[in-house]
Formats: sequence, C-alpha cells, structure tokens
Amino acid sequence: MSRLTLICALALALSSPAAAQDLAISAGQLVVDAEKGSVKGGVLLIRGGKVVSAGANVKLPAGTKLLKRPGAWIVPGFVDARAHLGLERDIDERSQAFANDIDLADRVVPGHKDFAKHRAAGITTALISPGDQSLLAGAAVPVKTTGALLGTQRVAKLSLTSSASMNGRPPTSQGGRLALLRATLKKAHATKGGGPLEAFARGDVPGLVSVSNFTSLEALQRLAPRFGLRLIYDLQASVSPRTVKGVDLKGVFLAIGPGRVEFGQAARQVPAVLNKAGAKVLFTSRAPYGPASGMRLRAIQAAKDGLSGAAALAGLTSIPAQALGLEGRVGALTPGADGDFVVFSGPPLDLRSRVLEVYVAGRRVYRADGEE
Amino acid sequence: MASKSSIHLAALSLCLVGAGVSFAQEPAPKKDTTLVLRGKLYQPAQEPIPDGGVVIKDGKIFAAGAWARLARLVPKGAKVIRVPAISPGLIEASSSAGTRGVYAEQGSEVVPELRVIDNVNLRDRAFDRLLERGVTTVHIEPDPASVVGSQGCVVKTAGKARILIEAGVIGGCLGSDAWTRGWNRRPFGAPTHMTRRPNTLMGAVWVFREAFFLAKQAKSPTPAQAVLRDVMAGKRGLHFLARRRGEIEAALRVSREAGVRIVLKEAQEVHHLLDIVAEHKASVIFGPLEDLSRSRRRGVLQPRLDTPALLALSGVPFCLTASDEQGQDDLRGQAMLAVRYGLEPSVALDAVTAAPAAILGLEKRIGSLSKGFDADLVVWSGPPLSATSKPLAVVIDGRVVSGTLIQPKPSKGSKPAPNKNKNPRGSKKPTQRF
Repeated sequence: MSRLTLICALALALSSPAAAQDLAISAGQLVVDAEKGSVKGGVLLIRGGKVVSAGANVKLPAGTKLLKRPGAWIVPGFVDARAHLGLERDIDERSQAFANDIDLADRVVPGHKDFAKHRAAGITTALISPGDQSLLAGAAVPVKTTGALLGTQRVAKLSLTSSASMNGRPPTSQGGRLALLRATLKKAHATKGGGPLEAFARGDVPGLVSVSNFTSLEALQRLAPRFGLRLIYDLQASVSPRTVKGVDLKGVFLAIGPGRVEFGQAARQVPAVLNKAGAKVLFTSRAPYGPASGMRLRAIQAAKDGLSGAAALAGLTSIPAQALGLEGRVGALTPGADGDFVVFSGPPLDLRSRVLEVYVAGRRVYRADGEE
Repeated sequence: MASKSSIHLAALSLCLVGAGVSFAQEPAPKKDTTLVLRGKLYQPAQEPIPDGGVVIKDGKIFAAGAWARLARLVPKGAKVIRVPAISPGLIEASSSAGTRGVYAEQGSEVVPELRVIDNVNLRDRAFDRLLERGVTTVHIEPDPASVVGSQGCVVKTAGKARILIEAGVIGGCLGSDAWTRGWNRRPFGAPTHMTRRPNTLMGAVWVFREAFFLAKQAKSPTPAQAVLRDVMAGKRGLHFLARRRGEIEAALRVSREAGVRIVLKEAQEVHHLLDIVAEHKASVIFGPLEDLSRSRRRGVLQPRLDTPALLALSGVPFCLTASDEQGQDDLRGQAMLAVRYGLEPSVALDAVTAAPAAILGLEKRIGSLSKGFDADLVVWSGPPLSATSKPLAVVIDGRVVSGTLIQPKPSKGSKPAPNKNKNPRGSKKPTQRF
C-alpha cells in the first residue's frame, strides 16, 4: 500500500504542470538541432514547459534568473524508438498473428524503476513497444520518461522476423508472413476507424517493423507507396557492406539496437554504410533487455567508425523524432517544442562526457548527484 | 576547457559538411550508349551467320543480322568491336536462386497468394554464378512443397531494373515433394497445421481439385481464390511439377478439369506421353538431364537422355532447365547434352533462349536478338554449344556486366621485357649436366 502511495505521489509530482515562471539556461555549447551544429555560449529560454527561443542572441525577460553551465553541452533530450521499459511480466500476446486490440498504454506502470534508468541516460522520450512475436503485436506508445503519455499518439508494432511464426500458428514462412500482411493491409486500408492496424494501413500512424533481412525490407518497400505506409525498420539482420549493396535505402528510417548481435565483427562501419546509402539511421536501447546507455554508446561507436558526428547525434534526437511523427515536439530545441534537454559535462559523443542534468518540459528530472 | 570545446565544435561542424555531401546523387547516365559488336551470330532456331553483328542503342537491340546488311545501320563514329561469337543471353526457366533454406509455407497446402519474390535476395552470389555462365534471366519458382504453390518471379541476373515479373505464374506439385516434405510428420499425433495431410498422389490430386472447385464456386473469393480464378481465366500460368508417368497423367487430367493450360516441370517420364501432352496443348520445362550413371533417382524414374530430341519431334513446345545444377550440368551443359543425344544445335540454343522466354510470356522482350528486344547477350570464345568455348562477356540491357568485350591480344612484334637482374640465372652459360 505504501508503495502504491509512493508511486502515486511520484506520478503526481512528475506530471504536475510546469511552473509558469521562465527557465533560462546557458551553456558552453548549445545544440538546438543536431543536424545544424552547436552554438557557442547559447542560451535556452523555456516558458510553460515549451521552448520560447534558443540560440546565441536570446533576449531574456526582465527579472529572469539565468542558470549558467559554463563548459557544459546542452543537447535535445534523446528519443528512443524502441524500448520495453515500464512494463511488468511478458510483453507479447502470442495467440494471434494480428493482436490489433493490444494497446501498451494500458500496461505502462508510470513509476516503474526502468524510467529512472532511462532518464539517467539522457533519454527523455521513449517508444514503449511490444516484442516480435506477432505480425502485428499491438500499439506501441510514446511516453516521456517521466511516465507521462504523449497524448493519444500511437505507433503500430509489426514484425516480419521468424519470431512472429514460432507460436504454433500459421504462417510459417517469410513468404507466408508477407502474403498475409499484404492481404490484411489491403482490407485494413479501406476501413475507417479501427485499431493500430487500420491506422497504419491508411498511413495515419507510423509502423515500427522488425526485419531480419533486407529481402523482407525490400518487399515492404515495394508495398509502401501503394498504401502510403510510414515505416521504421528495426534492423535485426546480420549486415555487411555487401548485403546493403544495391538496396534502395533513400530516406528509409533504419533503427539499430545496442547489442553487438546484429553485426559481424568486421562490420562496425555498418551505420556509416547505411547512412551513405541514403538511410536515416537511428539508435535504440531495447531497454530493459539492453542497458539504457547502450543507445548513446552505439552512436559513439558509429561516429568512431565513419558516421558523421552530426548524423550520429541526429540518430539519437531528431531522426527518431521524425520517424515517430513527433518532429516539432521532441528531438530538437526549436521554438514551440517541449523543453526536454540534457546537460552533458562535455561533447555528447565523447565517451568521457557524463550526463549532469536532465530536464523534461522545463523541469529537472535527473541530477547526477542525486535523483530529483 | 573552453579551448577544448571549440576544438570539438570545429570537429562537429566538419562532420556537418560531411553529412551534407553524404546524400550526393549518382552520376548521370552516359549519353552515348551505342554498342556495336561484329562476329559470328548465333540466333535461336537459325543457322549461325558467319559474319554477323549487333547494334545496341539505349539498352535495346537496334539491329542484328548479317554484317553486309548491318554495316550501313552503324552510327557514324561508333566503334565496332570484333568478337568471336554472339548469342542471346541464356534464360533459366526453373531455378531457386537467391532463396535460402526452407522457404515453403507449411501453414497450408494451397498457398497461391504467396510470392516467391518476398524471399529472394537479389544480391545472392547464386546470381553471379549464373551470370558468369551466360544466364541473363532467371525464373525463380516456388519450393515444390505445396500442392498449389506460390507465385514465381522473373529477374535478370544483373543490371539496374532487375525484376521483369514480380509475381507471375503459380506453381503446382503432384510430385512426391508435396506429400512427403512436411515438418514434424507425426502419423500418430493429433493433426496440426504442421502435419501435412495428403500422404499419397491421390490425396494431392484431391487437394488440387478441391482448391479449384471452391475458387470457382466462391461468392466472395479469398486472396488465394482470386489468384486461382486468374489462372482459370488464363491470366496467369500454372507450372506443374510431375515427374513420373502417373503424376504427369494426373496433372494433365486435373488441369483439364479446371480448364487450365499447364507447363510441366521435371517431367522425366514425359517420353511415354508425348501424344497426350500435345493434345492437352501443354508445354514442358525439361531437365535437368543427368548422365544415367549419376541419376539420383535411378531405379525409380526411367528418364531417357534423348527426351529433348523426342520433344522436338513431337512438336510439344519445350525448353531446357538445369534447375541450379552447377558445373558441367549448368544450363549450357544441358543444351550440350541434348545435342549429344540427338537435338539439332540450333534448336538446342532455342531451348535455352527463345523457348523459355515464350514459356514465361516474355517472347517479345527477351530470348532473341531482334529489334526492340532487351540487349541481353553473351559473347563466347567460340560456338556457344562447344565444350571448348567459354563466355568472354555478358551484356545486360546494353551494359557489360561480366567479363570484358575487348580481349588482350598477345602482340607479336614486342620483345620480352629485358631482364634487369644483374646476376640472372639464365645469363650463366649453360652447363652440361648428365
């Protein structure tokens, strides 16, 4: 009982409206949008939880106290496009190929201890997603790592890997999975209302699709323009530069997990290769099955092995926000966006840099020397 | 600290410049795409033309034939490349290239809505191997594990636009594969979708008959039934795998019931039934021909090595396939074997070029070097069906995708490079040895 009270109190504390007063903070370097570089000595002004202005020449209203973080870097809060945090027990309903009634919003435990780990890693937004055990495993839900939902926004979670076939029901083959998906999408595309499947089939919401090879990716790419599908591929394939050769990846969102399982030893440069092929590479944590910090570590490794620093940082912030349809709200500190940011002790892609503070909607939710 | 930060800023901004160029566009295609080849020309079902040639423009055949007639069609300034022998690119009518592992759907015995292309890795090395052997187009067929199988696809082995037919003919199977190759066969356990139901040829025939009957009757057809209706309406072909005499007869019988014209595959015992096959207006994809001593099914099947020659005599439309056999049994090897056992060489070339194109419904696009066709051809070092010839270059859509057209010639006049070694062994006076 006392635990429940504590959770309620915490949830209440975290979800209470942001203070009406302004927050102004300056840093050694301010990254407004990862793809546009950083501003030396930039100032960020937040009012009512939203960014008012950010940059070198920000006029502060009279009487505003400026918090100073000299030598530190302020970057947009990280966006994790695939995580399983805040859930208890199993994450998948396996009995049906299309679990269209499953909405993970019903299952998120707001005060779950996983959220604190995510905040400590500098992640402010995460997509809480079901697993890969069904062709459609349900609706994934984007949340702030305070535990608050981002409105009614949902993302369909699909899987074309063999895991989707291992539950004693047809289809059993890749061809079977794609044929069933094609027929189901055709029917769902013409349906009004409905669940995540129909919304995905009409192109209203993005779909996060787990793929274990580029063949199924290409098959879905051929299908996408017919229905106007919005796709994010969660890449679980073993990739080498040869595998990628000739695949049309222009503008394709490719999510890369934290583990080393997806890549052969000689293929650390794969994020760079995918980026060069035109893909928009984003990094995910898959927490709690991987460490929350794994997302940033993978981006650092990719930047070491050929990915540009801007693309690596964008893969943690603005690219996942675009992929999830949350651009303008999270992933960049542009005016009107949520005031979600991280204060790093140094450049975010330097392994030595620590997360000093994390803010969500202008409120501090993490401090390195003690949880807020 | 501040100086360190500014260094990092510089690094980040440099990276930003890098990000800007990483989306650089591909170089624009070259404007001059004319290619002129002169050499001995082998066309399907024709006598070879000793002094022939081909003019290729924009990836298509502009003209082909005897050089005397062709010379005035050659654009001014175009370079004429002399080559030993030219033939159309070979076409493999039955292959599983690019597919990996067990890809047959086990969820049902009737899966015509499935597409093989969903499981084809176009970057698989199998395509490179086929290309090196002169094969330019492949029909990838469904795994024969279902009685009514999925939709095959036709792809080129290289080039830019590789998919010719994304989802074409469906496969059928009355061979033993369809009733013996299930997963987890549990004769005493409860039937699941993993347990294959037909255990006999009779059972497989029934599954086929029922599927087409239900498709005909259905008021609101399922996706699978819609495909079967296309087949019955003649909009989509049916390639039927039937090896033994009884299987071939059953295949012809049920297809006539369904009102479908079929193409027979792997029909090793078709020589018994040539009259009936001709009467049913069926075509045959024959092969792979195996040397009798190597035949894996010796004793069960009774194949004849002269079946291609008999097929040619009977007038049944047929083509040859190697079905992914490598080495001496590749597609060209099949044509050579057929010639060894009585088929005319020009007809044998037809059986691996124009005939498979016709069976796949692509007779107006590939399979021959005619005006307007895709410029898919092979340059050989000698007659294409000679064991001493090899492919020198393969051209797809007017571009050289394997080998080279201009062969280095050993020049007669040039001296060997002088040996600069001051104490070469060869410079010593020869000593007599006993």
